[in-house]
Amino acid sequence: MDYRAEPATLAHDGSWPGFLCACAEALNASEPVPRVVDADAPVGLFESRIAVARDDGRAAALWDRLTIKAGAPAMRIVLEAFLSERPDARADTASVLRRLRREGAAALRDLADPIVLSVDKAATRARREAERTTGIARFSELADGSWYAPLEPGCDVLPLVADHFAARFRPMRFALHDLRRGRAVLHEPGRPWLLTDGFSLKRVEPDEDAGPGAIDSAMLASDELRIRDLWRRYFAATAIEGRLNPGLQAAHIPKKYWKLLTEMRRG
Amino acid sequence: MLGKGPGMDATGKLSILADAAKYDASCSSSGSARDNTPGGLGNGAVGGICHSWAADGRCVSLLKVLLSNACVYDCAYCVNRRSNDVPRAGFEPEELVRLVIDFYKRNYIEGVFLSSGVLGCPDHTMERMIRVAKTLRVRERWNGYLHLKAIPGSSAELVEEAARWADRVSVNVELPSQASLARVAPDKTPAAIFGVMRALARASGFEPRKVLPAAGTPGRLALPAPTESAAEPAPIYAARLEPPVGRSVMAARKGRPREPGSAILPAGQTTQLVVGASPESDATILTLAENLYLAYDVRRVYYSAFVPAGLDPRVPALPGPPLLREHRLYQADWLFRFYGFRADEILGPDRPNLDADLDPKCAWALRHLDRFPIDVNHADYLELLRVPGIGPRSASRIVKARAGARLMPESLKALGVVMKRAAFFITCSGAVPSLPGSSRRPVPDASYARAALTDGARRALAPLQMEFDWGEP
Repeated sequence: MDYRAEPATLAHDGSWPGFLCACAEALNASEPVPRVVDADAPVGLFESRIAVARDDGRAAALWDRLTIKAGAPAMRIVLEAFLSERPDARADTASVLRRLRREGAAALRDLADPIVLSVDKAATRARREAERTTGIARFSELADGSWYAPLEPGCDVLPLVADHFAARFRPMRFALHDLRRGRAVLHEPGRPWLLTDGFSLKRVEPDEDAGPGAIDSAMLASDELRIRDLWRRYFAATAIEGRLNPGLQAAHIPKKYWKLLTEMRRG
Repeated sequence: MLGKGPGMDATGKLSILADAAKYDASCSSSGSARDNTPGGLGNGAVGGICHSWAADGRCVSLLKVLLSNACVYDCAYCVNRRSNDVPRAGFEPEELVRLVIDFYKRNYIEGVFLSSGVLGCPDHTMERMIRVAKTLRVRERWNGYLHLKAIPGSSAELVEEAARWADRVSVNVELPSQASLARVAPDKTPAAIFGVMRALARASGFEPRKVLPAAGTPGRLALPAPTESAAEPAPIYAARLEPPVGRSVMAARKGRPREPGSAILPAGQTTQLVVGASPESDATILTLAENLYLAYDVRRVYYSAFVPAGLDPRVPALPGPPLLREHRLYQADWLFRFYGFRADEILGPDRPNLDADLDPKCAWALRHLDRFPIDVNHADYLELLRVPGIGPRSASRIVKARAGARLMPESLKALGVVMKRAAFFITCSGAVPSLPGSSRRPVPDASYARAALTDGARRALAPLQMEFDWGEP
């Protein structure tokens, strides 16, 4: 294809393999390199946009090629930057791949390059959000013995935290549910975890008033509410009265996360 | 009087025993990469994980409880001292094991921090805690983070057994001098405390270094011999280390790589000092802390602002915990471990206390203006670390970034440098950075520099801290 005629862009479907396919197309293009954009983004007046089809085989081939060249740690940063969902992170990540292909992992150390710095920051953001998620996910035991944790992470962290929870809760059958994106990691003991789109917890009777992630009490294991209450007791007792500092507390755990934290809500 | 059996349920016990354990500052869950065992539950996360933050702003990572808050000791700073009139309770081992597993599976906690009041003798108390630890590890096949508090005076065998089950074991030094320990915690002796620290150092493969009496101080006092460690000389607080001295904690640790995968005590030992319950200066506290790092390979020294817990004439009636002082001590402690500072660079006999308005690194830099400004394009990593506004992260970013291109003042902020402070102390190959939000040239000995470098800690923390007159030393 010849993109030189006008400022061309390559659109992907928002999925990780789709994004990699658009990147592969961009890597094949000659200067000026077309920008990689999300298909949802509004089209500019003089933009000529080409949609790149998702092809998982092509995506995997590019991923493997780049991993050989740049190494797994560098590619982890690329994945984190993609999952950060920062406005320019994906376009910047796409253009950093060009340097990665040429220079290997060293390219990511050139933080004086604003594009590299932007990717580094986006990746850091997703990594922090994933780290936070490993701490603040709250599981509830359901009546059938499985476990359910609703999440509302700022970045698309499920692929980054699934290994952690699967290793830690190996004997548990659980679902980690990203309410905002409607996706879930499903884990069965003895099997690798699975990422599913369009997940929702079956409700016994729909309750309009229940907050996000709320579970009908009929679905909970019989001990669940008692143990939640014990945890709230513990949480209240562990703060030192002489040092109360709600500002510091909110700085560590912004209030937007509170509604899914057992210790910060009732029920 | 112990709340056991039908008198009290788990909820009541948990409230009492969590309340009684909360003054221990350590909540870290880092340093262990314990693997999940086949069919087992849980694992260690090397970096540690915070699961929540309590209303006092402290991270909640571990279920921090006492096995029992009944105690035969009478330490004046401690809420659980036998002379204090508080409700007493104790967990049955099974109750506690259940609670840990229930909380862990819900991802409320990273693990447990188990301590106890002294029941009978130290060894008996240690045995009870070890029983809980063993049940969790063996029967429940639980591999979460386990921090056990050792009781001063416990036998070396029990300390070693605790080390086998736990990720971290700690024993608290509590008071920063022998005289204060004798006055405030009469049931504890330095030999009983340091004996456990030595056993812990050995358990994790570190031969403790000999601690000699500090030059110019009276020699060691005759102390009652604790169990098992009677053969070893009791160290004294005001001490100097056997040569070679003069190495920073950071330099000393370079040759000792951490092994988070180790089966025994992967997260090592820690200790805690109570600040403000006794008259020692910051210099005394920091010198002791540095010695503990070097002599016993302690991973962390925690500084706990004394929270007045009831009236006891042996400790001062402070209006509130000395939080600003605690904050400055932690900053200084960071300089030991991550910035290559020695205690005698931060404070000395002529400067016994940390500056209330400046962080210790700024204060040091202002006393050493002959070493500045430094050129960020040429200074080595350790020199960069000495610059206020540059930390380990930004220093390594600078080293990485300048390999590609010469750094200019404009590019530093993006690398994480706090220019408000750093501008006074650096150049970029001759180019002097400007002060953000100011038209002034950054001159560190100018009259406005100190005000510009003052941080907000005093404003945030000092209303809670008032001066206490200790009288003549």
